Amino acid sequence: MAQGDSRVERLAGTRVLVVEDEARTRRRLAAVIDRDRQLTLADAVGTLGEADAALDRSLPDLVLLDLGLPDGNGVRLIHRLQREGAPTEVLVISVMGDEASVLAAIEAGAAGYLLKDSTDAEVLAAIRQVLEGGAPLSPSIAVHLMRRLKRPSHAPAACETALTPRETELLRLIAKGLSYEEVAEVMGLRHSTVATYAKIVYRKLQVHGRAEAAFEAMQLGLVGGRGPGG
Amino acid sequence: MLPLALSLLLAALQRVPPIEPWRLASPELLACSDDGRPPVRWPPTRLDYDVQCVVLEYRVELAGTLPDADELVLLLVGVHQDASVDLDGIRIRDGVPRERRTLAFTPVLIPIASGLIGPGPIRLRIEARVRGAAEAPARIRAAYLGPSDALSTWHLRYLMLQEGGARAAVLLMAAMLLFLVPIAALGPPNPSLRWYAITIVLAVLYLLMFATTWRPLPAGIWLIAMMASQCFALAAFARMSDHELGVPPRASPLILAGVAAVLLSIAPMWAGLGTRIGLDVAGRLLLLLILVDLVVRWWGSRHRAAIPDARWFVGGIALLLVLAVSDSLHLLGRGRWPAIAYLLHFGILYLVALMFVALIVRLLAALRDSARSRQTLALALAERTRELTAEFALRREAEAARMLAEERQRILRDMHDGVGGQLVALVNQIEEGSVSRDELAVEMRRTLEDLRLMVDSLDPACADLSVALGMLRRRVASTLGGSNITVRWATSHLPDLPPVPPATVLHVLRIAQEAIANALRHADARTIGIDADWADGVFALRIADDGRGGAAIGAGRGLVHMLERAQTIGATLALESDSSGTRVSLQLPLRAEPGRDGAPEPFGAAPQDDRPVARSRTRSNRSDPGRNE
Repeated sequence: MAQGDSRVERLAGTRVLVVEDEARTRRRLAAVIDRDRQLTLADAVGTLGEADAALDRSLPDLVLLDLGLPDGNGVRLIHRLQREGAPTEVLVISVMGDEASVLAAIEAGAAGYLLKDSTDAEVLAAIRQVLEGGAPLSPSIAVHLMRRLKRPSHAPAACETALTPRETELLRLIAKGLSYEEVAEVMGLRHSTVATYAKIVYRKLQVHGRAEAAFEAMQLGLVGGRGPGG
Repeated sequence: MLPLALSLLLAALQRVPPIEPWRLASPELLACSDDGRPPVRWPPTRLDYDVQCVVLEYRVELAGTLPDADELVLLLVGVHQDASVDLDGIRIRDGVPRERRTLAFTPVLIPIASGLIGPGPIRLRIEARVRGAAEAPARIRAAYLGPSDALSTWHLRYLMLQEGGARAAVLLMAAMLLFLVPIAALGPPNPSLRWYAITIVLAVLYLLMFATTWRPLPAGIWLIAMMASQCFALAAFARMSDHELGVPPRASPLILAGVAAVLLSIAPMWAGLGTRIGLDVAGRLLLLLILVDLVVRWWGSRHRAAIPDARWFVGGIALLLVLAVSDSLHLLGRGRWPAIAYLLHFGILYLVALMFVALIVRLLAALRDSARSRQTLALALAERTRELTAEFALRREAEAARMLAEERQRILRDMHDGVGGQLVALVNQIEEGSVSRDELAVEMRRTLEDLRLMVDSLDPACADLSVALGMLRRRVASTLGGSNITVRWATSHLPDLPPVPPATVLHVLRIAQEAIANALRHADARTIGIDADWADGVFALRIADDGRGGAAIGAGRGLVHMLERAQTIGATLALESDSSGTRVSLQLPLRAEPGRDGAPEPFGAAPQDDRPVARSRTRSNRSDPGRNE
């Protein structure tokens, strides 16, 4: 991955928190981060409680988060960071065939996902991508995103969150298995732009999810639908 | 009596106060019966009645004292307009030939010199020309003597009543006509309905001309319309009774009789003779014949079945019979009743009214029936819907359970044969110590790859083969890493493909992966090209390398497995291998299912059994055992 000096500089000293209950994976991820000279391992914990405590102590730049933790779902941590408005990015540690929970995490505000069986290089690549403002996207997740954001929704924010033709084309190419480099080439974009697009689409899903939740709540009469004060 | 009721009804409809002159002090009544009934019931003292002319003589007494007025006026209601009137032998009105198209029975207003009328009874002689059968014999319905100004008002009122009444009659007829439409649409096909319709149309025409000053047609046409309407009414009545009695209709004799009667009745008119007698005799004879026939038939089939409208028929028949007999007797000069002949003009009205009532009765019955059957039908339908819904739910549940069980079986079998088998083999090798660390890593990675393919195939998004290939592309890309083999994919142009079941996805993925792995491991290739197409309902996947070639089916287990997989999913697999490289081509029938928007289900809906099983064929240019796998 070609990087400019400024970017290297910006990445330097990035603090990463690893939240993973499986000791072997946790150790491996911690080691990978430790070995990298630009990344600093803030902490490596195995439960939500410990993670909360670590976040209380200091906010890291990035959290590698496993969802199925012994004391709860990792999404709770994402919600907490969102509530506090923390600038921390979250990468969900996912296993194969777990697209549903990855999507749920992205909807909650995660920046992307990381496959548990990724090679060391892939782990670092995914982390860099996120720190550079991008997001990793698998073909399967691209399809799910297209379906979620393309389908005409009754949610009021449907227009805001509907995919633009460019984004749809990008997702379509990703779904056919093209890498970011290949997509960039086909669409005549810079590689970093493609990654940013992915991130934008993730944000749309997040907004879409919120809008839909709000709409459903309104339908159920949970919140008032009249006036901005609601 | 119906005409009286009808007149009252019409009067009420017109909101004209009923005229009861005999109760008024002024103008004085010229004549009045003992019991206070209007003079309309009074028979003339003398009635001369021949084909050309009618002469009526009345001997009337003044009901009160003569009003003291300079100018008296005599108002006669019910005489022909062209009648000449004599009072005590002195002509007070000359018979003026009236206009062809003016109303026959317009009330007549005659000025009388005051000295003409003295105390005691007076004699009125009315002589009128009979101008055709359509004109009823004239007779005085009411007579008034009084001051001209007061009687002029009465005159006007009579005119209004007559005209208004006619209008109301027309409206009533039109309503009856309209009434036929729902009957015709609702009830069982009743052949007599057409007859009613014709009857009512003719009756309306007849009434229009009879009761208004409207004379668009010469009297002959009027006459024909009247006679025809009577004939049609009788025919309709007969057909209705046939229908009700369940006997075969006899339309043609009736029509013939009707036509004959019409011809018979108008023949004397054409011959320049008066028509009254001939017409009446013919018409009434016909009427009598039909009535007798009806009665006999009804009598004969009385015990056959219950007839809902029977009482209406009986009533109508009896009424007509009485009228006919009375009229006939009168014509023969033996009538004891007043001239009902006039009333017989309303005979058609009786018929129509009877039909009207009968139709209402029938409509109500039909409505009741249809409401009842609708209710029964709705109940039955609801019941059946419930049953079907329950059955459908059961079946769907069973089907879902079956599919789930099958899918579970398949996955278990897959895991047992694939990942499970590989792990067991590896464990054995490790325990024997016959495997090196590097070999172990390679084998483990292969096992992991296989597991990934399985997991991918279960992803709903991968029911679209183009996405499944996309997942494979990613995996291959990460596996290749830094190797110097180029893999060219030509799959990005694929559209969204119709969903296929996970098993099919897995087989296609494994075939593709096996072909790629073969190219990587055995072919010594520099470039591997993978392209896919979807056209004419066939999904085609080609994997070509530029390696040494020499692959053949049967030479190794890998290609045999690929062939088996292709057979399982109903696809054809072709293999070409020569010195320019090896090309594997898979062709899978894949049709878009109508009515689906392409959203795949977790477990694809298309069972494999539905697919046409294609022949598997293999081609091998050169067989070289030991080079495969």
